[in-house]
Amino acid sequence: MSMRPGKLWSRTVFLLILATIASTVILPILYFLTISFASNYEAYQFPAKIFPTFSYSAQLRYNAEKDSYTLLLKKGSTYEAVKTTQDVSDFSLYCKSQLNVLLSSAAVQELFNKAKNTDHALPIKLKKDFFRNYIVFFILAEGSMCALFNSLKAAGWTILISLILGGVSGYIMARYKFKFSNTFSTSLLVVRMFPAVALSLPLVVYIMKMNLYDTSFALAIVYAVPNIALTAWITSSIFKGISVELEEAAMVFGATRLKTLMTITFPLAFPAIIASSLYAFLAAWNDSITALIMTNNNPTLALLVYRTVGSSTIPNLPAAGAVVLLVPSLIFTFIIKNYINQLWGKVAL
Amino acid sequence: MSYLKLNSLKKTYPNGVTAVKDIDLEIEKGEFVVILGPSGCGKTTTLRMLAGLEEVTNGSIILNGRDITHLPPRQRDISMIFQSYAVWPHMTVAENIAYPLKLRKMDKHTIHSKVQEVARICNILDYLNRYPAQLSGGQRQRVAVARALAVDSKLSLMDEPLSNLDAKLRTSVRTFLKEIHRNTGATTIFVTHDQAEAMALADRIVVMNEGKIEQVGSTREIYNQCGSLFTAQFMGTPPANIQKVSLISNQERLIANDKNAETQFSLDLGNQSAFPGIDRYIGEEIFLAIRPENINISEPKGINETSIEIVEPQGAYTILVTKVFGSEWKIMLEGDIDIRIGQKVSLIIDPGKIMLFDAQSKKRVNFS
Ligand SMILES: Nc1ncnc2c1ncn2[C@@H]1O[C@H](COP(=O)(O)OP(=O)(O)OP(=O)(O)O)[C@@H](O)[C@H]1O
Ligand SMILES: [Mg+2]
Repeated sequence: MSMRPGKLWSRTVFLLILATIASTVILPILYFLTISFASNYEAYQFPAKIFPTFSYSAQLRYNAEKDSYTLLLKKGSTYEAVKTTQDVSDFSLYCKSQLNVLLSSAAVQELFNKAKNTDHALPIKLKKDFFRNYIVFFILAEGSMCALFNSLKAAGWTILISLILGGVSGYIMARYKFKFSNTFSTSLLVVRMFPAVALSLPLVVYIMKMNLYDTSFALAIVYAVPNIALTAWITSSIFKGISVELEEAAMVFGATRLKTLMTITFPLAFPAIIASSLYAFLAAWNDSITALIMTNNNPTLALLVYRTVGSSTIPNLPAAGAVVLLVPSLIFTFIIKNYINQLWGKVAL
Repeated sequence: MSYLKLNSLKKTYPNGVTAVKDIDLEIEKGEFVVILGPSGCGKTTTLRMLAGLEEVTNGSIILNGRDITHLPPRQRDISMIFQSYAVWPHMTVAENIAYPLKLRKMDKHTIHSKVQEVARICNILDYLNRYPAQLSGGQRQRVAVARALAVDSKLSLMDEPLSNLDAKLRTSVRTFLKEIHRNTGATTIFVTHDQAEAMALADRIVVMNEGKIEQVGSTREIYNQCGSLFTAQFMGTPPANIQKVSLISNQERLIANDKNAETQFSLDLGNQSAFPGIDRYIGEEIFLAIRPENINISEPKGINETSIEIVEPQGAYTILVTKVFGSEWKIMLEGDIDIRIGQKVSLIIDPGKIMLFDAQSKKRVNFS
């Protein structure tokens, strides 16, 4: 399979890959992270910063005629006045809410005194409370641990349901040719065309009748419906990729059909199936619309993020929520990737 | 009663293709039989029916006195080496070899010593803990052999096990397989479309064509006494020179004339007495086949004269191409022949090496 492309060619390919990774992965994630650490003040600045900041370079000026203090923040090469006040607690509140800087009244008073005693503006460094947005987010988002647990449960059920049902259909699609096999596989796709809302609204009634409303399992059912089809298609290509000869060899050497399935086919398909469970996981993890309809007191994390910061006009808190949502799925992905990479003598699948 | 017996075995696939038509074959215990035939002639289908991987449409298979026609594969006590080797990628080499033994409920100790034993024979002791992905094609192939070897099966099937190896490895594995057969004496059916492989390995060759057996015999028989026109065409590199001719008798000599008299060429086949019973074919059309190495050349003598058109030196031998009856005939001569293109020569043919085939049945016409 290996060919030796020219140096220029391989360099071009390398650059293209780099550009793709940069534009689809690195830049958005970096932007998200930076915004999630930004204070309100920073979030309004344009152009936005690429990297998060840890402190502000500022000046504090005393205006003798009004007996007030003006805070100036460095912007480019000049300083911009952002707050003028006479009151210590007003100043402290501004720092906390707009700049994510925590200053006690005593500390502010000390700064004021210093500024009063200098002729020029007093140069100061204001240290940011770096994780302020996250703390605020978790304070606002009450019961986020519970929601995280709900999300995990819903994702787990979704994976289980879609892998079992989708896997069986996938195996049938891959190994058996019957009269309507094409119709069967196409009709599976049709299910995917329904919008989630169209599925969940009518289902709510039945779910309520079954006393399953507001449970992760009910959510998983709705998530699984379109996912079964996707999983079936993915697993069918996985099963098709497993040479029939491998199964036949097992049967010739003494295995029953069931034994072959359990010791050859399934173990061979397993890593790829696990990888495909990522789709089910993400479908469950990222949804908030269905959860909005199907849950009440037991929201999922995505729904909680949406409820908490969905109406916010400043992007930094939602970004923090998004990062909170993102971390578990990243962990899940890496675990899977590692697991697959060390299988069977590090065969790349 | 022979060890393995195929009785008018037939296979028609659901799509209507009849891949195997009425095969009758008997194989003795310990024989190494090679099924040889062109691509698509039904070799794999036959083998798969033996292994139980393909349902038999008609006929029966008797192995060691037991009718196994409709038994599932696992009850047939047969081992198989697949063209793709079919070693399981999620098991180490040792696990691959041990898997069939575990299914046979052998105890751990026996399995371990058996694995060691066959691994030593197949020279893969060092790789026992590796996964197939970490092996080369040739090593994987030996794992497949070891796995088949470990189960002392009644019958060993091999479907083109060498076709995925490079030419050099192929000959060495060939020798290795033959050696193993000599040591174990396992009854083996080996499928290939490579005649060199077949001739080198086989106790007996079964030539197949279009789902039927053309001829069964030893390498020598298959090569020198082709039972049918197909075998003559198929066997040999280069294959036999073949021409449809009409025979005439001229002063006790047998002359072959061009069927469509355009070229006006006639070939003197020698004294008619060398072909007893040829009388009934005089004046009839017949297929004439002569192997390239059975033709010699001499100075032009006014008989069977032709000119050399192409010279292909091959080192140990030389292939000459000439026009006979308007078609290209090949002549194979030992050594490096000094001859130039366009040179006139006379063809010398040993009448005993001439093969004639009936124009209708395409079967060998025997004189004895
Ligand atoms: N599963 C199948 N369904 C329908 N037709 C088939 C099937 N398998 C094989 N055939 C047909 O049966 C015929 C014989 O096939 P087979 O595989 O036995 O040939 P072969 O002699 O093994 O050829 P090769 O040397 O190329 O492997 C072919 O014409 C092939 O197209
Ligand atoms: Mg074949």
